[in-house]
Amino acid sequence: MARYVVRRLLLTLPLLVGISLISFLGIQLAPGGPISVATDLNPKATAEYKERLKAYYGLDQPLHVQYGRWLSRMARLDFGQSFMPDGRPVWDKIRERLPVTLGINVLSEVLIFLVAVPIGIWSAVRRGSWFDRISTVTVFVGFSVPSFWLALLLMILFGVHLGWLPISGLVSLEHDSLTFLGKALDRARHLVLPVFLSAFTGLAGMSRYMRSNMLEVIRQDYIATARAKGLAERTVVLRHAARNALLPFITILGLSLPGLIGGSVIFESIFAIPGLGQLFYQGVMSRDIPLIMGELVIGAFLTLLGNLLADVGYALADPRIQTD
Amino acid sequence: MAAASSGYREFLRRLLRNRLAAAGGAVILFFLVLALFPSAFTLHDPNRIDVLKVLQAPSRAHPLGTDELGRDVLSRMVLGSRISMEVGFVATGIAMAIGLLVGLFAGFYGGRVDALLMRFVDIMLCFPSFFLILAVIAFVGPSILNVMAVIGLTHWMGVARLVRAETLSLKERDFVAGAIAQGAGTARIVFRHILPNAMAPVLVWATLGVAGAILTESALSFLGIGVQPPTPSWGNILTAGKDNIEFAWWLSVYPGAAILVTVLGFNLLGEGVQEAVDPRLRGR
Repeated sequence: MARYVVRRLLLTLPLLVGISLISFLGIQLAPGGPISVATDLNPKATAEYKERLKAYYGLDQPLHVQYGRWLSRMARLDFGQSFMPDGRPVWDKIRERLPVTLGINVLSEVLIFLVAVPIGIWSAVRRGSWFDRISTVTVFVGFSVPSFWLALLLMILFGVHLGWLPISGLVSLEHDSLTFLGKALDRARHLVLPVFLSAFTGLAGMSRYMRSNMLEVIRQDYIATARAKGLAERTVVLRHAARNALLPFITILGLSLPGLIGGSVIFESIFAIPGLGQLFYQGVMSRDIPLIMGELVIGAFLTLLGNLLADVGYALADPRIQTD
Repeated sequence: MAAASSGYREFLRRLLRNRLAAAGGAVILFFLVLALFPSAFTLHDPNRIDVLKVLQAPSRAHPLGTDELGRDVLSRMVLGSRISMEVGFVATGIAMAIGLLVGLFAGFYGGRVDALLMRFVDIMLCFPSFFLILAVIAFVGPSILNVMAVIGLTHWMGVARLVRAETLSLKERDFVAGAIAQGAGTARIVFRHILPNAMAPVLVWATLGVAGAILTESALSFLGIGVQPPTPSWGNILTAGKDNIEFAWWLSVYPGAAILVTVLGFNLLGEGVQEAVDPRLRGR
């Protein structure tokens, strides 16, 4: 197993190099070069100041030297300083927001898992039934709904009309004065809509995927064998079929991470949640190149990590995979 | 040629027999007509500002109400359908062209070319695609053309993989060997013999791709980094809906419903095309 993990890690190395190369080119291709963004809007920036800035960032060096520096800085998670007025290091800004976004995404993956798996199993077992048809139609609608629109509708319903749920931020204004239990409840109420919405699109795809996996597995000989030896249908479905159909699900759950991270831009700006997505959006609006590149690289890291965890998880769960 | 056209007719027959796919096609047709002849369906000038009619609820004069500048929402949505369709088709066209070329090239030449191109595909897939789109927009600035180009440039990887796999298997087939034996040039083999036989899954991908591109455009415009006002798009009308969420529900409800119905149409049609191309998939 250890050897498998090491081999799998080695396979990600060329991808890491590729990511660094693309992000480096991105910085170089910024209109007017990376310096112009910092100096164009500053009338006090003289030619001499620009030269000094260039030397400071090493932009007077040949490209391959610059790339080498970028690579070594990337390895230390040093993405430079944000162009925003506070001028803080990009990594600090990312680090303090990472838990919020990861937390919401992990919660929504759990939700996807808990809802999509039973729906998929039940649709496959009762194929062609009313339940199956309704869930199939729901899946298609789910694929097609613009999630930010759904967010607006739910905000109108639960926030404006019914007043049941807060529609912005992670905590209420009076959060600090609440008891421990009150704090937890307050936070949970703020998370309901964002987590549900970020899970929604994934739910549709995943239940469909689980259904077709189940249909595939149910046709296998070992299911016929299990039925033939007189096991209860419930045991056949849950223990023999579902467990096998779940295996590829692990991979897909890992692969869905980049989509969720990308989607966080939309939810976090709608619900004013201080996470990576909102930070990225602010970076884009103020053309904060170091911040954008830093987040892009971190996003790619997380994607690679998701793939890696999925592969290793799969190998752990399925003894048929040869790991040596 | 006779065989080809009867195959095409058989395909259409199977497609239209699928009621959901036919409904999807009808929806697309409806919005295409709106997009092509917007002036036939608008009651008012979509850009006419009227400060006396700000945020009016739906009425006989303005069936879908007015927006924060007193403009007629129905007229703006009709014009918005043109934007959505344009972005959907052009972006998908760009992605398809790149994906086809990369896939054919990698699959046909194999070896190092293939390995290099496919590693590039892997790397591109590492970046969360919405992040990538936003990052490029931050560099080039928001406009309809940029939105089309950026969506196209960030969504070709799937079709490249698809076409590569098809090409790999097709190039080993007898009819390709026959064409080579007859002395056909590389371009002829690739574009006359391999490409047409690889088109079926690409067609399915493209139909679903238009749906995805329309969704992405609307999300970008909603965030204010896609189609810029005063040009109306379903996404940027929804931005006004969000800003006036407490007193103008019609600004939120209708444009989103239009996006939902259009995207659903493309998804149903895509699924139908898939089944018509490959009947084994029915009911899966």
